[in-house]
This record gives sequence, structure tokens and C-alpha cells, in this order.
Amino acid sequence: MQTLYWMLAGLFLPLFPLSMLFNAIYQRTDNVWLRVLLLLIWPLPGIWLLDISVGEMPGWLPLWALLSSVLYAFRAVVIRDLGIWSGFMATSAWSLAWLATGSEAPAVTLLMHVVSFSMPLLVLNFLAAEIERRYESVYAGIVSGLGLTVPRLSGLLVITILAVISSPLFPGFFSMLSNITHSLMDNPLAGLGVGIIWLLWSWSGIRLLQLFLVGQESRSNHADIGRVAGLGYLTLLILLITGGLYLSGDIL
Amino acid sequence: MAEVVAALIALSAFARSAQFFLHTWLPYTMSGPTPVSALMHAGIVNAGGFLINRFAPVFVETSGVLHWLFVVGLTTAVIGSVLMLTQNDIKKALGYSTMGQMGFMIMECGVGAFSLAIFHLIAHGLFKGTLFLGAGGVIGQARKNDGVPTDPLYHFVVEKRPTRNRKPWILMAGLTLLVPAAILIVTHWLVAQDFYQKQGAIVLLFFGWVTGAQLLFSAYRMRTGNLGRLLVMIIVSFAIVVLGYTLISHAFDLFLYPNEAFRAGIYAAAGIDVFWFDILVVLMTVVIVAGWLRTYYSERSATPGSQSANPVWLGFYALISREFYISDGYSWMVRRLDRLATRLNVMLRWI
Repeated sequence: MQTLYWMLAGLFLPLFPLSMLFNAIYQRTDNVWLRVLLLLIWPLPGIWLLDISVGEMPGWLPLWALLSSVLYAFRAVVIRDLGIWSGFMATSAWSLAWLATGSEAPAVTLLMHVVSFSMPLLVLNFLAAEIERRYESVYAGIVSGLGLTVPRLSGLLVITILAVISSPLFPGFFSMLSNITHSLMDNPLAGLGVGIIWLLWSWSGIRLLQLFLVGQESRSNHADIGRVAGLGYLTLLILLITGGLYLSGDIL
Repeated sequence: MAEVVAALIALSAFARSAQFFLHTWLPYTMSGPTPVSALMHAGIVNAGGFLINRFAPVFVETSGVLHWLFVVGLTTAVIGSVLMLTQNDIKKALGYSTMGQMGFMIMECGVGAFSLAIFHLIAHGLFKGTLFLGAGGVIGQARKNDGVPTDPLYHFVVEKRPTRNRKPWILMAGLTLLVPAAILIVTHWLVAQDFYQKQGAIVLLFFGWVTGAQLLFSAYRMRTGNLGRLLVMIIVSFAIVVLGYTLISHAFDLFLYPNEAFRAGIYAAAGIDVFWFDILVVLMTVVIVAGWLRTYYSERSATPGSQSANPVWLGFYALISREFYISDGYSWMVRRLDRLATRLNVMLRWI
């Protein structure tokens, strides 16, 4: 019974192969608002289940979570579709919440971890919708040369992907820092694992950017993103940085 | 624990400062605009030396990590310089020159001269930034007109043809020994009584001697009508180089690490057994002097067009021109990882 309970939590804070359900649903959801909603609510039951858990967590669960996270981070390296990539990144990031749980973190801290990874993905989903509207695809390689044709959208895409791969000042950075610090205390190898995951995220993110921004310019009948909309996205990103600075305190 | 922490910090400094095996990113960033290269080579790569200096209190607690820094720095300095010599792209040559300089900087940290590394990174930032910003202009100008007069200097620099009317070689060799000795005595009197008893100071003087003597030999290869003026110029530049290594290092030491015990601690952490230290100094001196002699005699006996292609040298040149196959190795590894990730994705139906 207890095992089933952990498995149920592993469905929402995705552990491989249970994570395949989330990714299947996420990839079949075409509407951007539904995707955003999914990113916001999917991990919540998992956090709640972990919070109300009574028995002690088996030692193999954090290891399983770490391996799940490594698997999705590694698979994300060759992904070119922005939609699939954001789902993989969410899976890889949310799995890391199990490591924080291993350090007996309260529910609010777990929520902070999960939200810090989900928020940049929300912005990325909106930007992906903007790209799809213009080019009818979000597949890097088919869509390329954005740097010259839609510079404002490209700039926002760069900053957002940097936020998703947990670059400094964004919330994910402080979350990863906390994950590494806590893992190192428990097991230095787990700390190394988190470091490798971070490296894989950076690798895949920069590869995507390279494919989207440079190369043969894709044709589009639509103009670059408007100034007002651009400012709106920028405000969102500044809010993310502010959130990151808030997390840099003693929150995590 | 201090050893592990220091080793990891050193590793991150190696990656940032493009040390051997972690250097491939640096020369390949040259496709960017030249001002970006200038910024990168004058600023970002220096972070390695800065990082090591910031964590000096950790390195003081270690016994073997600084020796590894020395070995890695030395290897990088040699390989970076060799690779630089084989490039025919001005920006790539400057990139490998940065790699060599960064190796030198890490090597300075390895002998305990932490503050000298800071001086080095400031100086390197200034001259490398200037070189990069001037690179575009040089290329543009050369495309229009190479503007090189075919005078004796042209024969020497471009055709590598030695000049015949040389100054007495023995005089120059004598200078390389006399000037550092004079400076050593002055430094001993000005800076500290036991200055030349410190291993770090000896190593710095050694660097000063090598660099200065190299400068002297380069000047020797030039032809001039005024021997007295050339000699004065040589002595002054040589003195500046050696003084730079000793006095500036001391001034930076006092400024960055005012605590005398801490300064002594850094040199103690970098120190090795006196016997092995002496052996290494003698060995390096012999290697360097042998190199100079080889260069001197091969230039003296060479006549243009008579050099036969030695297969060993050709093989070595091919190895260098492929940059020791390190980039190829990394590319192969990345392709394998890509294939594995794709296979996993196909197997798991991309979900």
C-alpha cells in the first residue's frame, strides 16, 4: 500500500516510466493555455502527497528520481521541437523535488522548487505560440535564422531559455544551487549527478538557441513581436529575476 | 577535504582559462565579431586566475594541488604556443596565444606567485584586447597592400633568413647572465635579505631570465649600424623584464596579501623538496639553452631552399595542424552521445 502511495506521488512529481503519462498528455495538448495550466497544476498533487506522507521515504526513491532527471535531461539534448523540449525539461526539473524531500523539506519549500522551474516554462510556452503563429512550426532547423528576421522575439527567446536552463539570477538557479548543496551533504555522488543534469540542460538549451537563431532565415508573413507585447514579456522575465533574488534568501 | 575543494576550484579555473584538454572552445569562438573576441580574450578567460586568487585561503591549506596547477599550466603554455605558431588565421593565432598566456598565468599560481598572476591578467587583458581590436585593421590593410619593404628586416621576419653581420654572440650570451645577476643583487638589497632563498622568487627570476634572454636573442638577430645604441636598448629592456618579474611581483604581493605569514604560507604550499627543485631548475635551464643553441646553429648553417623534409618533423607538424586531434575526439564523442540519445528517444516514443 505504501509503495502504491509513493508511485502515485511519482506520477505527479514524474519518475520514469510514470513520467511518460505526463509527457504524452502534454504533447497532445495543443492549446497554449491548457499547457500552461498543466504545467501549473500537474506537480501539485505530488507535493501534497509527499507532505502528508507518514512512513519514511525508501532510500532508493531519491536515486530513482535522480536517474529519471538525468534520463530526461540527456534525451532533451537531441530534441528540436520546442513543445517536446519544454515537457522534458519540466519532467527533469520536477523529479529533482524528490531530492529536496530527501532532506525533509516542508511543503512550501517543495512548492518553491517546483514553481521556480515551472514559471520560465510558462513564458516559453507563450513564446513558442508566437513562433508557431509566424512559422507554423516550433521545430528548430525548420525554423531558423530568427536572429535576423525577428530580433525582438529572438532576444526574448534567448533570455527565456536561459531562465529555463537555470542561469544565474533566475529562480531555477537558486533552486539548483540548493539542490546541489543539500545533495552534497547527503551524498557527494548525488551532488555530482545534479551537476551533470545542469550541464545537460545548458547543452540542450544552447543547442536549441543555435538552431533557432542562426542559419538560413525562415520566411514568414508576420512581423516581429510588437513593442507592447515585447515589454510585457520583458516585465514577466524581470519578475522572474526578482523571484530568483527572493529565493536567494533563506527560503529554499 | 581542503585538497578536494581546491582541486575542484582549480578544475573550474582550468575550464574558464582554457587549459589543455578544456581549451577547445577558445579558438573556435573566433567566428564571432572581433570586439566580442577582444572582450572574451581580455576579460572572460582571466577569470581562472581571479578565481584562484579569491580562493587563496583554500589553496594555502593544500599540499599537492598547486603542483598540479604548475604542471597543467606549463603543459598549456607550451602546447598553446606551439599551436599558435602553426596558425595562418590571425584571430586563431591570437586565440592560441591567449591559451599559452593563460597557461603561463596558471603556472604562476602553481609556483605560489598568486599576485603576479593578477598583474599578468591585467597586462594580458590590455595587450590582447589591443591586438584583437587592431587585427581587423591589419587584415584590411594587408589586403590592399602588404607594405613590407624588402629590407634586411623583411628578410629576417618574413623569409626567416639570418643576417650575416651579427654582433659577437658571446657578448649577448654574457649579457643574459650578467644582467639578471646584477638585478638579483639589487633586489636582494632592496626587497628582502633572504629573497633568493625563496623557491618562488627563484622561479620568478627564472621566468624573467628566460623571457628577457629571448628578447635579447631576438634583438641580436636584427642588424643595426649603431652597436652601442642597440646594446643599451637590449640591457634596458632586459632589465625591465627581469625587474618586472621581481619588483612588480613584490609590490602586488604587498598590495593583495598584506599579511606576511599568509604570503609565506602560499609559497610554502607551492614549495617542493630543495633537491628536486634544483634538479628541475637545472633541467629547464639545460633544455632552454639547448633550444637556443639548436636554433642558433640551424640558422647559421641553413641556406634557403636546402632544408629536407624530415618525416618525423612532418608527422609532428601534421599532428599540430590537426590540433592533436582533441577537437576531433570531442566531436566523435558528441556524435556518439547524440546517437545514443536519439536511440533512447525512438525507443521511448519521444515521451
